[in-house]
Amino acid sequence: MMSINELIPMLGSVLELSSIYSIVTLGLVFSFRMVGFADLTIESSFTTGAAVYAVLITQTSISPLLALALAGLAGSVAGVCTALLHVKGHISRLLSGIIMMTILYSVNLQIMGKGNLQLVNTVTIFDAVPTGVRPVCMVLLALLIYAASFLLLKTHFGYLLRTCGENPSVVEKLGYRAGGFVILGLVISNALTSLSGAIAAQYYGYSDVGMGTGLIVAVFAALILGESVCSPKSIFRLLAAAFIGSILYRLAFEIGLRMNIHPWNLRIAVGLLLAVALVLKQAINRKHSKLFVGVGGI
Amino acid sequence: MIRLENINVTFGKGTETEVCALDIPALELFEGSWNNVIGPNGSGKSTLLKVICGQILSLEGKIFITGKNITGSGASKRFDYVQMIEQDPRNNTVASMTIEENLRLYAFRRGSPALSFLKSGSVAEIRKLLARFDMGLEDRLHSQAGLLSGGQRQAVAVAAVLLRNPKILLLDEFTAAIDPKTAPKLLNIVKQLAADFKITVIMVSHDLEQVINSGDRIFILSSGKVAEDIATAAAKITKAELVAKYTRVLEEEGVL
Repeated sequence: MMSINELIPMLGSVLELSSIYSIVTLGLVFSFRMVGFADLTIESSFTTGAAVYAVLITQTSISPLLALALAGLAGSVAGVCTALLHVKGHISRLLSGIIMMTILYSVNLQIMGKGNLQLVNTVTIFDAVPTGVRPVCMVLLALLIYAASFLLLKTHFGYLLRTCGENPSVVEKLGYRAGGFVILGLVISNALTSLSGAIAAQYYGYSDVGMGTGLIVAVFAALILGESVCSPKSIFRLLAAAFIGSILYRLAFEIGLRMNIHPWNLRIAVGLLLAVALVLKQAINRKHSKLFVGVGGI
Repeated sequence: MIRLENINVTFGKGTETEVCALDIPALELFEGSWNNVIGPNGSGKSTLLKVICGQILSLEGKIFITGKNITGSGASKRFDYVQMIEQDPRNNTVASMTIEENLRLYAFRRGSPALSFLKSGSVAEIRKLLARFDMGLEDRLHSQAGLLSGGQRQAVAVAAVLLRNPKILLLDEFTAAIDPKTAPKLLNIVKQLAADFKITVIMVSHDLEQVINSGDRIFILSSGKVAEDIATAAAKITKAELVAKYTRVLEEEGVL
């Protein structure tokens, strides 16, 4: 059994990491639940964020906050590219994501100049706070971004964004083209993902070209897990599900590590976790199908 | 009010599969009138609606609405004054949104500030409008549209559309998926509302009973052409007469 001296730092790191990755889950809410786009670009745009941040912080003297913002901007450009492949190029959603994910891998290498960039002794946004309080700061930062997203989704723009994924024909009846909202949805989604990647680079102390690999499954698992414990019948509950799911996923991951699962087998565990979460969610949906409709028409 | 001149929509022009979906030399619909359109499958009913709302841009001919030539403007512009309600209730409203959210979504017009909160403004107007449908919808503002019956959901769609103050309302078999008891009731309410709001209505229907008891005019379409134009506002037509005319059109087309 774990002692209390081990438990608290472990929970601290779980909270900190899950808060960082919860921003990607929030991105998935925008791409998948709002505009209906299961966007694979995030596997690479996460790394893009980390790469842009690492290069800016090691090679220039700009503030870490500005570097984070620029990292987010880089991700939004990736989002525009993926969306344009689909909206203007009429390539399927899945393939658009795969294409951009692949292209971005090389772009990320070009940005960094090598496969791995160390961030030792660089400034971070958390320099001012003691190490023990960092998890709390990270949770607060994540909640702030969630709150801003909540407010955005409660505006007319937010409702139009949501309509675009669930019912594009209504968007058209309102005099808009659904394509524009797909672009904006992916811009927001990939900007959040890149931002999260940049914060992750700060946390780990490096940027690595492979750090986004497997991310899509992880955030899907987190979102679905969250939705099965917190039915997403309103925007508030959907965002709560994304945040709670991110923590639950990271907790399950940590428990897996502590149970001495061989690192080779971690992906089996993650895959199984997603499968279980999906089965659970389907079962709950069948039971409650007459009680509510989930945001995104689920 | 609505004037169509030399409208011709031909799909697959110059190929073996060329088909003329719509061919209307001249057609004028009066302001605030209720126009019924019937015809067999493929006769051009849906094409006519799509040409008017701009989903199909006719390459030939002209369309005027209240004297203004709108031939070149696309669906996104026309949806400011033309609205369409489709047969499948799921296409007209957003399932996961509440009745109130659906109505407020439709009330939003292009050019208004997009970052204002959806629920700003009073609910009195919304309740008053919903009460007209006599379905208790005004007390269920926070029910999700996806949980309503087909009839209730179409009623919400009509209410939502009216909040946009359209000049023209296109109804594409909008009661076809509704039970036979609710359908005529809803149709009557929509007729009253259309009269109150002075909206020109074009209703496509397969239900001759519905058509005969409502409106000012009946068009029978056949192979993209107006085969019969029957004014029913002044001189009523009996069901037998309509059936006879419709049967003759079907025979000429070779359907019967």
